[in-house]
Amino acid sequence: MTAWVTVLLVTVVYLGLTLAVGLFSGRTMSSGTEGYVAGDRRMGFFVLYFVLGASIFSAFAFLGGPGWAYSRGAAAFYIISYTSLGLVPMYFFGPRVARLGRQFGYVTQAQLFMHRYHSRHISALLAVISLTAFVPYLTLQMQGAGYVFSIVTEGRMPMWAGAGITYGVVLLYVFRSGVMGVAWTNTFQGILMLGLAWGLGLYLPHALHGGIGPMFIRIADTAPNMLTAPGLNAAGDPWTWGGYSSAIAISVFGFSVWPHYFMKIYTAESIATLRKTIIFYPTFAFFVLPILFIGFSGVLAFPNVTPADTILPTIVTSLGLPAIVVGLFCAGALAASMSSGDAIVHAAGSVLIKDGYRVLVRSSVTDADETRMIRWAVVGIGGIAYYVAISSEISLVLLLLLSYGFIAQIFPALIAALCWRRSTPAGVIAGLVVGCLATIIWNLAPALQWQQIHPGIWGLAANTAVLIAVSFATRPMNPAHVDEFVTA
Amino acid sequence: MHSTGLRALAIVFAAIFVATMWPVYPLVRQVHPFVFGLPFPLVYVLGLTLLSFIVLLLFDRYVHQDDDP
Repeated sequence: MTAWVTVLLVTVVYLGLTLAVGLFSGRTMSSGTEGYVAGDRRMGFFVLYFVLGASIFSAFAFLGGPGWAYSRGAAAFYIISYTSLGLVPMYFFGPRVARLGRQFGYVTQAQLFMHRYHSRHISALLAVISLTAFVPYLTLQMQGAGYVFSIVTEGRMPMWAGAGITYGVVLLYVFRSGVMGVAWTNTFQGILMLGLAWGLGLYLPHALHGGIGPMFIRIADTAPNMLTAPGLNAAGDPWTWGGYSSAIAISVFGFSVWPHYFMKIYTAESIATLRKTIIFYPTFAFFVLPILFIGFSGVLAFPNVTPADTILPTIVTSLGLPAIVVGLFCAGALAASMSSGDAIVHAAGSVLIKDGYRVLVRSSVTDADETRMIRWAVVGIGGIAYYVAISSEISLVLLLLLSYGFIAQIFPALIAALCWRRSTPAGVIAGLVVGCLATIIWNLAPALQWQQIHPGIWGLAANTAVLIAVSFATRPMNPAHVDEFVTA
Repeated sequence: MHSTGLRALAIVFAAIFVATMWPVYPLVRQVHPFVFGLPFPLVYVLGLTLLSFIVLLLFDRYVHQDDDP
């Protein structure tokens, strides 16, 4: 049997196992939206830890993380910083959101805002922001999956076919099992990825340099700029502190309000479980560490690999490793893509129907019909993202840059909703719109750039200022209603 | 006590957050000294990660009081 067939077989077995886990895990959930979207609010610590953690290991982390370490050195340390701090804000607001979710039956992020501010417009606006951010991310995950299959088959299978097979599997188990399918496959995939990350992260520095310590000593002697904070920018020049610091800041502000993370607050079986999950979340940063070791191992051993994101597959396929190991690597890369993609497509379908269609088009829908619509919305959004993924004419770069900047704009609105009695619907809407517009403008106008600060930071500043000013300029809301949220 | 404790925790995490970036992180930007074979900027970031975990763990165990199940 030739090597590529063995690799393909391992990959297919992985996909088969994932599909089985995904389909099986939905057998006990209830048939309504609370079951499909919120898992009947009975997810335990172990699964919740992995469902949140595995999303970190997206195609960006598994392929992009080593690429960052390889090409930008210490700049990649920002990934560890935001992973360790990203979920901390949720320790403060998560229990309150969970309590409100149980009390009022929320399953999406926008439902909380719509109720707090009595505004359908906020719901629609959040749906637009969420979907605008989701689609490019989902598309990137699909492209990552197609790329893996292309490697597996040594170019025999085109990207469109690999992405189609992988996301066919994802859509099947998300369609059937909803959030429980996402949760249990993420647990399976998370364990696989952790094992592979640490296995490769320890093995590659040892095989190429004699160990992690000798590897870093060689890099420090040859290219000390690589290991001196804040590392390098994309052009290979020293990165600015403004760029490094704002990358962490925008990630920390945006992390916990990504709708597919936020919605998991509603799935926790208890508030104690939610808090415990958040407490242990920083430990996932230690699982990101070997991903960076992999990238650093290639700096001196495999110079001039372009694009940098291909450093991991380049190393794995160059070392003459047994085909089964290469197959496991490919399975891990697919797991990284799928564990983010499934959560995103599930959340996107839920947001489209619950926060968009139900609010703007038709509010009176039975629970069974609504669940059916969410299932088909999942398929529809998956199809759109797939089309974008295989269409080479659409550039994702700007949309990806905008995604985190857009999502972070929800953070001030959330703080205002839960902590500031005087905030008003007009203030929140104006803040969100101005924040997103400022993010777009700072992205499109290089002349406005200063110290490479992330455009989303300017958006946050404008958002917060406008939220406060417009709230003060408009009529306050009923204090009794507001107290339900501020004192929850 | 509950909200006071949370406020104190927020201040601690604001300090950790600032410690991950400018103007604090530049103070430890140099590669040396190596600790357990790792360059110092990486050790520093990992140390803050460990600190975040321990602070949250201890706060939840000894300070936080929540009646919710």
